[in-house]
Amino acid sequence: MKVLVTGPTGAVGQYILEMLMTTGYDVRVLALPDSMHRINFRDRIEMVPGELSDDIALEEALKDIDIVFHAALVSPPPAMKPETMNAVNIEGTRNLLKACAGKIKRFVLVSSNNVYAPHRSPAMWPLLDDALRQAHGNPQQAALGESLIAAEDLVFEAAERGEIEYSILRPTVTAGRKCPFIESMVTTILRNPDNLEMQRRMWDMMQWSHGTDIASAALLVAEHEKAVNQCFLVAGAEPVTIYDVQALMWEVMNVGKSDNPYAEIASRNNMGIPKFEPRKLHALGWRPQVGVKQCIAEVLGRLEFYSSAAIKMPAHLLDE
Amino acid sequence: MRALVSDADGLIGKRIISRLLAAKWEVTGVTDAQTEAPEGAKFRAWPKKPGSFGASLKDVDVVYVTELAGDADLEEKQEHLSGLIRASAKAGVGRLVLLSSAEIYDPTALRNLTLYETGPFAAEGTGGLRCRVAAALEGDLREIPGDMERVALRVPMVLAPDSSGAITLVRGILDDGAVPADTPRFQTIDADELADACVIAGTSDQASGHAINLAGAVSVPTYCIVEEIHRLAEVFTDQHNGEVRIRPEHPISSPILAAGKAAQILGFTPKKSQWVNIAELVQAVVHQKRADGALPAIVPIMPAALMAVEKREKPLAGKVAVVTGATFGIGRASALLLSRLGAKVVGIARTEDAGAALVDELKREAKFTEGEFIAADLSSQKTIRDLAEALCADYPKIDILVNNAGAAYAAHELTEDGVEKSFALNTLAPFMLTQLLAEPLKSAGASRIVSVSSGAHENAPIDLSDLHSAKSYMPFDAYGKSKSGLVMFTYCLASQLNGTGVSIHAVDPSTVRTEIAARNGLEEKLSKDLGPQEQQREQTRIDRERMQMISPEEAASYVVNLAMAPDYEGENGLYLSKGEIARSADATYDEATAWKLWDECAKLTGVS
Repeated sequence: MKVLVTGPTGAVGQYILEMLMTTGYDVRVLALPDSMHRINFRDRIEMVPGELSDDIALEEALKDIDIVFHAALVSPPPAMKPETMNAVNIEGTRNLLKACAGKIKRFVLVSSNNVYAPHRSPAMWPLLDDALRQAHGNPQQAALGESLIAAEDLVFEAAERGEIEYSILRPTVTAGRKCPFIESMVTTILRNPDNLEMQRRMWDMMQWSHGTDIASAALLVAEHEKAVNQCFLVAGAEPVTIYDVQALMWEVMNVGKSDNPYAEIASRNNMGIPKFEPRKLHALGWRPQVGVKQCIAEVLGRLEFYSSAAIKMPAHLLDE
Repeated sequence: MRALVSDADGLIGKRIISRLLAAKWEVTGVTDAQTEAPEGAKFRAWPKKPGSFGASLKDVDVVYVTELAGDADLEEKQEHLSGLIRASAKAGVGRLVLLSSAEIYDPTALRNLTLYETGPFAAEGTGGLRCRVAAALEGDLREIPGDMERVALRVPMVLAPDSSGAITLVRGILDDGAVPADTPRFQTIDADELADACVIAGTSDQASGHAINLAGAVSVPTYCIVEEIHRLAEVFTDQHNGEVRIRPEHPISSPILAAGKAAQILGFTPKKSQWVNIAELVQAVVHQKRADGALPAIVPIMPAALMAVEKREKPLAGKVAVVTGATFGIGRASALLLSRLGAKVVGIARTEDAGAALVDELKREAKFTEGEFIAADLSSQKTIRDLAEALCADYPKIDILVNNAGAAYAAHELTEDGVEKSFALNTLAPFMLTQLLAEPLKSAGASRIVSVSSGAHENAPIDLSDLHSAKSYMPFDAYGKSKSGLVMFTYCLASQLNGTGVSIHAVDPSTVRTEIAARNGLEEKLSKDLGPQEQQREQTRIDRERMQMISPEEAASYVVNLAMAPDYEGENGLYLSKGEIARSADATYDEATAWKLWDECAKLTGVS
């Protein structure tokens, strides 16, 4: 089996690539020429430089491929123009689908839970895999939702024309080596630990998915016969608010202490009821392996944040 | 290792079994229910004669007796349980773990004190069924001879969404306000954590010979639990408010059961909060009630147009929709959306090429319905007349008319008819076209007309003394005035249409990422005097502003939803801001001015 990964340096793509290294698949990646130095396992894979609008590169990338992991969708940093995002997410997916038509066994698209209609109210929980979609939120978020919904629609239509079989993953906020949203949460908490109510409202209830868990889901559905033409919600097991993140950060940074000053506010803000239920993945035997605390520890480690703000000097050094 | 678990399909029994199976134990479950054993375990029925388990107890390492913590019928089972304890001792079972109950303690002490494993206990023969059975079984466990290791775990109420006892309690509190009598404090334990503790008690070296209290960390006054249940019930039924749902601060009472021994001997401290258990139960009750029809089902809040797209329905199949300005921006997106909903779209715009591209797209993609394009410049009255004539000839029925074409002009210009351009296109064109299409609109029955207005009208009331902005001309002021005119025309026509089945509404789709502010000489040019960095900065500012705007597709969803949603049936003359019914500027409700404007328009166009 030969597989293609698009977006192999992205938040999800790099984990898919990593997990593929533990399988017997032959792996090829399609990557932007200026990101090739960031691709891992370069000695063990084939690399095709190019972008999704480049038909020749696509043809080269897709030669003899059985499964495509399309993880080269972008979700915007605030400065990305909607037009750029649409060009990648919609037109890019359209081109790739056209190039894949009739040639591959499975098209795995990494979309986002952002496509689902608003579901803030606990009355609507748990959200399931096939909930209705609707772009929503602030203009940037809505633009992302629209572009992902359009990309998914292209996949549905290609399947209806009989050109491909697909599995779509819709992961929640992604944790791992590349997780700008979580990093911004963590740095905000570090900078301004006493005023998080705005952040709580913004992020509401979250159920982070770690890159490795998304990758394991991607590999699971890629060959599963029950995953043909299905959409899958991907979500971790633990519902958290920004206050839980704060409490867990304290735990990571204060190993061995138990008087967590943030535990009570975190508990009061979190009903403990999951917002997302990835029922279809559970049915296929998938279980998330990485907990929220570990996700946070990873970020704190990467930020090289040292845990003690105050320093306790040995007495003999203080005498002078 | 081998284990025998009683109440094998019960609340705790099934949880213990799944844990033991995961640890590769050989498990026999005892139950009279006809449920299938989980893979790897086998189930047997209770023996006819209590205690005669035969080979089932052979070489068993641990027996778990779990009925007292579950929902089982204790009256019926007591004799069997007693028999099982005796038979286990006789058969040489290694250890027996009895799940006992906190009710074994003195009821007065349970109300007021914190109880250690030493008691005080309820007087013999007093107390409820659970209390008597617990006392009897613990007595059996103490007294039977043999060197079987014995552990008794005394637990308060066990909470889990699948516990019928706990569900009944919560339902009772919600439905009848039934507050559990005689229990001023509430301390519980989670079923999963209890099962974890049981498994530890079955294998821990130190546990043998002990009675151990097991309970969650926190004990709370019962009235707080009742309040919390009512609060959560509201949270789980209020679909519209997703905002504040922080749990109020509740007082904590002294614990009912002291849990120190469990921590010391089993190394077990419960982590799950009682509040989470309560939330799970209330959610389960609400879901149950929804399933029973006692609570209304959750209806997705989504505009009908988007819902139909999402469900791939074609509610507009067989209908004709005319969209002006159909080649760019909101108009194009509206045309595509209407077509996707099954309508035959007739697009109107000036540019032939763009029109051909639209028709081609409608034809090429399977999700669209084929449509037509007619090139026409709506700032010319003659063109409008010709267009209306052609439309009336081709389409005896028009179900939807979207008056979307609109523009702002950088400089004051007059049309060939001598009318200022923004007024001609934004007010007069809809005025004429709508009325000239009266016949096909009326023939269609419940047809709808949508005027695409703009928030720009709000600070620009129409000036009857200067309709052509001859005195002073500011592009977006003239634009706003002409949109005011459009809104007033919409209200006037609506008042005349009552009873005809035809309705007309206006919508402000809010600020949209279109080219409306960058055409007709309005292009924002970066000054050549700026350096490259400053130009870049300026460009970033412009991009940022654009990013705060909504997409043409979203705008189209508001327009099309107003043109087809059943929510607006029977309404006429609505004004919507995005998807919400709103009020236009106060000046637009001035009827006298509106009818004067109507007369002026009639004079200018010859249509009335």
